[in-house]
Amino acid sequence: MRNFMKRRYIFWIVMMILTSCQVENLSDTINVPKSDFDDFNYVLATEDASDVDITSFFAFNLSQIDPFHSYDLLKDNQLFINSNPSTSSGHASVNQYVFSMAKDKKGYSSTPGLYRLTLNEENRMYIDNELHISRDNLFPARQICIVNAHLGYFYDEGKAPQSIQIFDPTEMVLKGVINLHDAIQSFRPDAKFVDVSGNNLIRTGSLVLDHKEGKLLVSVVFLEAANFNLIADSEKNFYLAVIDIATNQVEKIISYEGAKTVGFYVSENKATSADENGDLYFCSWGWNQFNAPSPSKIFRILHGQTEFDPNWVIDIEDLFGPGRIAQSMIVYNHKIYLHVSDESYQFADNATDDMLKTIKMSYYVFDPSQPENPQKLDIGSSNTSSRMNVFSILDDKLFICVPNYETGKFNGLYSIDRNGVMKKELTIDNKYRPTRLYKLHE
Amino acid sequence: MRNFLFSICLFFMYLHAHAQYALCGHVSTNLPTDQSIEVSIIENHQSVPTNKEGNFCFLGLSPGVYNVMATSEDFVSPIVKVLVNEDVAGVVLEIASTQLDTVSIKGEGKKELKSMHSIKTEIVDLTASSLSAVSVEQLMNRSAGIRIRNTGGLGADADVLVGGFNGKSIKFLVDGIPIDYLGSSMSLTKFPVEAADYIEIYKGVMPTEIGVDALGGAINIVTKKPTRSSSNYSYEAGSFNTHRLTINSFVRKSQKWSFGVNAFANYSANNFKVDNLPLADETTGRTQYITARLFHNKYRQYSAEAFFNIENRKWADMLKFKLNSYALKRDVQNDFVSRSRAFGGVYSTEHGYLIPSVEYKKAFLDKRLSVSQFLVYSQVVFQLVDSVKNVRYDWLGNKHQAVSGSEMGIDLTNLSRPVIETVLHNLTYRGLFTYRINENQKLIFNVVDNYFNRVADDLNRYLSKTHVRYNRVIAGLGYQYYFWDNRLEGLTQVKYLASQTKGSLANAITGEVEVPVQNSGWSFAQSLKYRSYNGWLVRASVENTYRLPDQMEIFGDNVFILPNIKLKPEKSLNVNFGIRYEHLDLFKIELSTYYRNTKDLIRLKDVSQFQSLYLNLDKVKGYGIEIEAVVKPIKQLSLSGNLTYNEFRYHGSNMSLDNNNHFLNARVSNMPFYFGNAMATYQSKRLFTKDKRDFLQLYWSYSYVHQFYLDFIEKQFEPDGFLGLFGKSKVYTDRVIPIQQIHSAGFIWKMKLKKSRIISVSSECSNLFNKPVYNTFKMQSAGRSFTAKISYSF
Repeated sequence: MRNFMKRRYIFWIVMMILTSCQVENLSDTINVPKSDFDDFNYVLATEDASDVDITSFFAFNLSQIDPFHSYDLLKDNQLFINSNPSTSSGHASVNQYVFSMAKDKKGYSSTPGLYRLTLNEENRMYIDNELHISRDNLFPARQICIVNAHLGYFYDEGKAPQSIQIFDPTEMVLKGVINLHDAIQSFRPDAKFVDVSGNNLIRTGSLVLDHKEGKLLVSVVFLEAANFNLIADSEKNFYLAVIDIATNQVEKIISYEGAKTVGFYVSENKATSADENGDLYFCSWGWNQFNAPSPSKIFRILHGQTEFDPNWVIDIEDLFGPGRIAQSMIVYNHKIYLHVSDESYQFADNATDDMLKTIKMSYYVFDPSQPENPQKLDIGSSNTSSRMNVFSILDDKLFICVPNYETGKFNGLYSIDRNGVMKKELTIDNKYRPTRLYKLHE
Repeated sequence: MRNFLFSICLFFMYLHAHAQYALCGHVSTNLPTDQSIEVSIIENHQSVPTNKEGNFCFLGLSPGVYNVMATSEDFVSPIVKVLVNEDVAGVVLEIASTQLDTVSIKGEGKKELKSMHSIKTEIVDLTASSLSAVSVEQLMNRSAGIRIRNTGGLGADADVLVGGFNGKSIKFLVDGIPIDYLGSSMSLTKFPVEAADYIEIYKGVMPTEIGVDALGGAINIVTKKPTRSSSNYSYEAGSFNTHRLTINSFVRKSQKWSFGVNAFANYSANNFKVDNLPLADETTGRTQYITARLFHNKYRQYSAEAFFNIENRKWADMLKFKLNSYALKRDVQNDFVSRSRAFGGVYSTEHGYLIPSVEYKKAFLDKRLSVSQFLVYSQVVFQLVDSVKNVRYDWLGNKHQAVSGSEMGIDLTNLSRPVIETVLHNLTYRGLFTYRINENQKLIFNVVDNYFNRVADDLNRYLSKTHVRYNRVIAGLGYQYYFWDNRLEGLTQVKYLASQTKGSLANAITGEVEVPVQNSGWSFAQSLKYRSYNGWLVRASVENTYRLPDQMEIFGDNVFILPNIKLKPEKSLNVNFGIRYEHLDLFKIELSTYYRNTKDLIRLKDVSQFQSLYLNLDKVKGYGIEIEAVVKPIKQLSLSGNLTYNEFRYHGSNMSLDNNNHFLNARVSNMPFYFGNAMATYQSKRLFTKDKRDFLQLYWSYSYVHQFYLDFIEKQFEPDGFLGLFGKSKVYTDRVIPIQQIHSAGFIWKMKLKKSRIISVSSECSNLFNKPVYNTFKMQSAGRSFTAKISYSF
């Protein structure tokens, strides 16, 4: 009997060990939106230095930051409130919201959608609302254009391949659709809309979605093959549809000779930027998957115009050398800021070790009136930014992300004000790669 | 240290001190009286015949626990465990002329021996569970140190975690032969429990007979090998419109020849309910999250083998001709990492219609040299069919207009039809040679050669195929020895592993070039076991091992995975130690620990937004602890439990640009590290009749898996409680698989009919409380389900 009791005790001890673990599961926290944005209103998005699938958001007070101290963002969790809602960094923001277009990243897979994020009462980012985007091909486009708190645009290729969806960013509801099909057919009567398998061959808004002086500007891409957004080598132009926002009518399709792509269709990024005058600038880094890349260029549409300016260009290869590219661009205080590779960029997809080679990128500023005269910023070089946009304008200042994952190299944020004063704002450990900075407000 | 060693010596000297005792008993049987019966002790290979009255006696036995059994020409008794610490009399062995007992008991003897081998082997006894309405996957998950993570119900792909390793580090075999020649037809989510006798799970070190290049473990499915004519039929039906039929039939025409058929068929709609499925409101565009049944997740399979044995000839102890055939079709409901979208027309098929094999066994030199040879050729065709154009499905099964030429979004324009086809030709030879030097020593030589030729559609070039050839040779030599009345057992072995592969690589200048790649390595292993007289068993083993990169890792998939011909084998140093105590049939407890130091782990590394390649990257080091116990407080009740804790951590990368030094000592991500099971079984006999085969078993099982992260989490930010099992993490993330707890319960009722026929009925309710269960990618698996089964054997 005594043996039996002992055995029974052992059994119950094992059972207790099995069932007694108690972990505070973080996703159980109720997501009540934050109402007071006086503090913890800056949000830094980062990707892990070793893995772009690990995206974290950190809410913090910029005024509390010592720019010369290197922060471990997770460890310093009194200053930086972390969260990982399993979305990517996003690249658009309005009021208290940030918009991300990919969720549950895993390798080359992720779930498309328009995910609206905001802070909860604990100052942690969470998805508070979302609009559906179909996933009809392996790499859906991730462009978004927000005109104001109640008007925005995005592209849902699976739902309507030559259309742009209109939505209300505050109410998070679809408001309509703009169909470009007939305009494209008129512009290019021999255009091939589908391939033999039925894949869409004409994408709209996959590279550029921006607005300018009451016009919505939408890229039109004529594909050689649906996979990988492949544009034929014989194609020489970049095409842009001009749509009247008031009437949702396509006014015309314009083209720019000398570039085929703007930005990167598969990644959240914005490769257009408007000056305060209303000039809109376009940054082409030249990537075209398996086909030959085009030279990287910056070109523009002047204010009051709806045609490309044929007399103005920043030709990166001419200025910096063969193979050099500009990946990020912003226009601030009547100047163009670029993130330019220090050497020839490796586009080759069959390069194995070479692809892993670290490419350095430096920061330059241009006066648009002197496009041949770049000034290098005294920031130091960075690694490439996998999400491309390294610039953001907050508090009437330009903030610049400097991602560096090698220990000892500066990794963090700089700012430049209207007087051209450059300031180190935040230094973070090299294990977090800064991708975006947002400021949320009501 | 010196005192410690002295104590160890004293301990073993104490255990070794012995006296001489007798063990006597009686064999009770309903066999004809003229049949000779022999009684054997498994541990020391001693045998004595019974006298006319059925009595037997062993003399001069050292103290200890012995497994004793009686055998006649065709029948075997159950094994009886006897403690000999004085003269023992009155041991009763029973032989009954029923097929069921023959199968079950014979297997049990082998399994018991395997589980006491110097190399730790987890035995999952399928024969003992063949009457219950339980799947192989469920049985495996109830074993210590093993987790199977199913991606979508019956027939779905599964990741197997064994001893801290998973994925390609674990290799699968059928009867010691690498399973590749049978495609995926015998994967753990597909074959029913009746299709095999038992499953051996090797954690770390493997015996010489297992000729695979596994890094961390191997799973060997051991098929049934009946000795007399017998048949068994079973039919199982369950939730989600699941039906499984099994037929096993063996006919012995004489001692010279026999034949048989083993077959099974599976069907399941796999239409279980899943939460959090995204559904677009077409008007507002908003995403709602709904609970709905999977609607395109069907699985169908048949597998059959027919064999013909020529036995007991001068030129062969056994010559077996076997023909396997199988085909399966699996609907693909969603992509492999998420349920963000539903597919309604995608499916995969696989078939190997005629797979011939031959096996030859012969003992030479007065049965000192045993030779076993096996040869098989198979052609397995895999197809992924994505034929629905310009349509997308939502999670309610409704169709919508779309602009993609395929549902998965793969560009199929370079194919003549929307089918991606891969044909795998496989030729496998295995030779096993065992030479018994004397009663206590033997040499084992095992060689396995696998030749593959993979021909696959090339999605990048119009109407083109890619060709990859791969040959892998693994040769092992083992020296096995027994000392101290077989209480000390050792195995010293060396293995040579080599692979050669040849495939085409795109070259910008020369076009397609064929490139050969070779890899090789030597593996050494040593294992020791000591079994005392008083129920203790201690074993230890150490091994350095390799896993050779396979053809996919070297040559990629032509689309998303780039080739890397510089890949080297993965290497691991594995050390195992275990101790077990057993007190008669009343109580058993076993503690097993293992240490792994793994280098050059091959990992898929993203090199661009859309492409990746396999690289020798990671170093992982760590240990695991498993504890399992069985208690029988009363004869009818058995309580068992096991608990596994794995502490495997990342220890750096070979590539400085990996930039993950901050994850040094981080727990390996997306892998359960703390899990366990508990089970209670109650048996009652003679419920309706006086026959002991009128048998009822009730059981309840509980499974616990602790939460784990999908991504690496720095060690300093893990939950701050003991071993990271309690407390709060500094990282606030949705990318976590929460604690999972599953209760299941069932019964088996077995009844003897006339002429030794047996019928059984069983049923199980899995996941009684309908709790959410998740797979590798946080996709929800099936909730509560019911299964009922009827078996008939004669």
